[in-house]
Amino acid sequence: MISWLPIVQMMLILTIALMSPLSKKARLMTHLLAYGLIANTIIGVVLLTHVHAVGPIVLSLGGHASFLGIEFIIDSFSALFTLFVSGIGLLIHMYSLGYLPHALKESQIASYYGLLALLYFAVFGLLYTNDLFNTYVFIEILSITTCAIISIARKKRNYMAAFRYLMLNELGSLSFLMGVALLYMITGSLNMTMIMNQLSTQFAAYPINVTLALGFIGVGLAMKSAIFPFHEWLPDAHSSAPAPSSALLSGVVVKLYLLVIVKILFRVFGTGIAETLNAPLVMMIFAVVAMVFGSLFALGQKDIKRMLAYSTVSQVGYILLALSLLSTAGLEVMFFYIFSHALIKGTLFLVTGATISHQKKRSLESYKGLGYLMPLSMTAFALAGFGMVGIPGTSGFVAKFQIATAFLDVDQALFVWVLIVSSILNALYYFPIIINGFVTDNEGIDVHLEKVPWPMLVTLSVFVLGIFLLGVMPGVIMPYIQAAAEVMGGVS
Amino acid sequence: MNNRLLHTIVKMLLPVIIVYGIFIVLHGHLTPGGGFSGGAILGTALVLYGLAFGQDASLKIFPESVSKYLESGGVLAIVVIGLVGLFVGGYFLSNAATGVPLGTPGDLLSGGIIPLLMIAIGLKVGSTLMTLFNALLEDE
Repeated sequence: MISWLPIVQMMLILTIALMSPLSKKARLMTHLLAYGLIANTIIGVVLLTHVHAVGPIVLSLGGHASFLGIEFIIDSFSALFTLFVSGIGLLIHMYSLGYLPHALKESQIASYYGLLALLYFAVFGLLYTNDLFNTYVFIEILSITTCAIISIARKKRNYMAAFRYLMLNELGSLSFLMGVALLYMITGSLNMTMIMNQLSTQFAAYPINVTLALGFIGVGLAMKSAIFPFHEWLPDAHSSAPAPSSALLSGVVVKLYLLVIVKILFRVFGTGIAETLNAPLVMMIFAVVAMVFGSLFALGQKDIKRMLAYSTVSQVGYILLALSLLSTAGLEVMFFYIFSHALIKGTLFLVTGATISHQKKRSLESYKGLGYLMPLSMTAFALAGFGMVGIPGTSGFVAKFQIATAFLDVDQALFVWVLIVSSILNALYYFPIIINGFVTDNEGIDVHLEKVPWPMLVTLSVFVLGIFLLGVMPGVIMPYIQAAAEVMGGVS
Repeated sequence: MNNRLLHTIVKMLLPVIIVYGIFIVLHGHLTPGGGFSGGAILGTALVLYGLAFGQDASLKIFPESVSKYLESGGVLAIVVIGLVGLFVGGYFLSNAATGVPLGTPGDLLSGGIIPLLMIAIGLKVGSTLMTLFNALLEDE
């Protein structure tokens, strides 16, 4: 019975997506997606507790043997992250209830929710699947729905952003597929577990093929997760999507591709081959460049949403840096960072959406004195900004501290300095906005609490509380994160 | 749109294309091709009709409301068949357990749920092609 739940989860959200062409009514789709996400969150909790108590579930679709058919693996890793996605998705959906009617037309809202449901479907599949070609298919669904979401507002800048996104991401998809084809050529299998078993013996015979395969897959996924030199599409795409979906794309979707990299490194190639091929060193270099240059680019932006998008580029660097340890400890840090960043960047993008629709401006100057006009939103922005910089007490601090200790444990103090430099750069672009917003002459400004619809307020409060809860008591989710890291990287 | 030569030839070709499309869809479990290719052929027939007789005429025989329902319905059929397999046989899309007779291998009526899936895919792909064609014409 319980092994049916992942399938039911995915089919439920797919069915909701299918309803969107039939109904142009925004109300119906809003409700359907809300119920779907609530159901998925509940199923996610059930699955997570189940895999913790009993162990992983292996599903084969159609009942075929694993070398023939497609396998889904539901373990501490995939169950944790599907729950994370549906939980964050549910909160962002609540925010959309109050926000979207101002930003999109009625018929656009219906199709927006349809696309969003399809996006969740792809995300769940990507996390569950244990098949490389299936991974490719879900990556494609995810890319195409993301592209449609970016262009949903039907303005010129959206079309440009969507076109750039589509071209670069298709290149990434093809590169990924090329790598998969090379692996299939050597091992004759698409099942991740079987490829890994084969590779341990085949690597000695076909070293060039394996190197090329890792290179193609790595570049493809780097393109999709916007690792620094491949980040060109991200600032446009994330800054022109509607605010709730910017929060989702920046907070969740980009991270998913990093999780796919985790799966590829730990479940397909294995850490042994990855280390022989110097993958950790390559990842460290890219990560450091991303951390520094992402922040530098963010510093130069005048548009608030582009600044946040570049900040995501630098945060992807942090996450990649944690991954480059290629150890269970590194994975723990990485997973915690993903949680922390999703909460923080989610808050920042959601607040920005509200301020932009209030001020009708996107420039950083429009934040001057905004703390008096929109105290609630700006407080949330300030607190999330503190989290991003890493002020003690926030989840950002714990996340950065964990990366630092993880690197000190392996005697690589250099990276701690990079971390500090990048954090200072973060402070340099977040603090001016906060200071401008609050510490300014309030003469002539009517100070009052702005009207925030209650669903938006709930979402913001949950996000901000989450940032501080994880900052003060990271132990709440640490057992789950440890289990997820151990199921990937082995017990440390 | 008053090209007699074009109209006559398209009218002659259409039945052949449609029958061929149906043939490919129905033989999905036996020969190369299947729901996707067959559906694409069916879609091409509709697009050809639209190109020859104009969009209004093609919308009259194949209105958007129909293609809308076929599109969602095709996928929904696969979801339902898959879920029946899950609840009866324990695996998503499990075949023999659903009770659809498997037949003799090689016969037209064989393969259990596979021909049903092929028909669903064929309807979905064909109508999607039509929707895409209409959408491209409208956005001008």
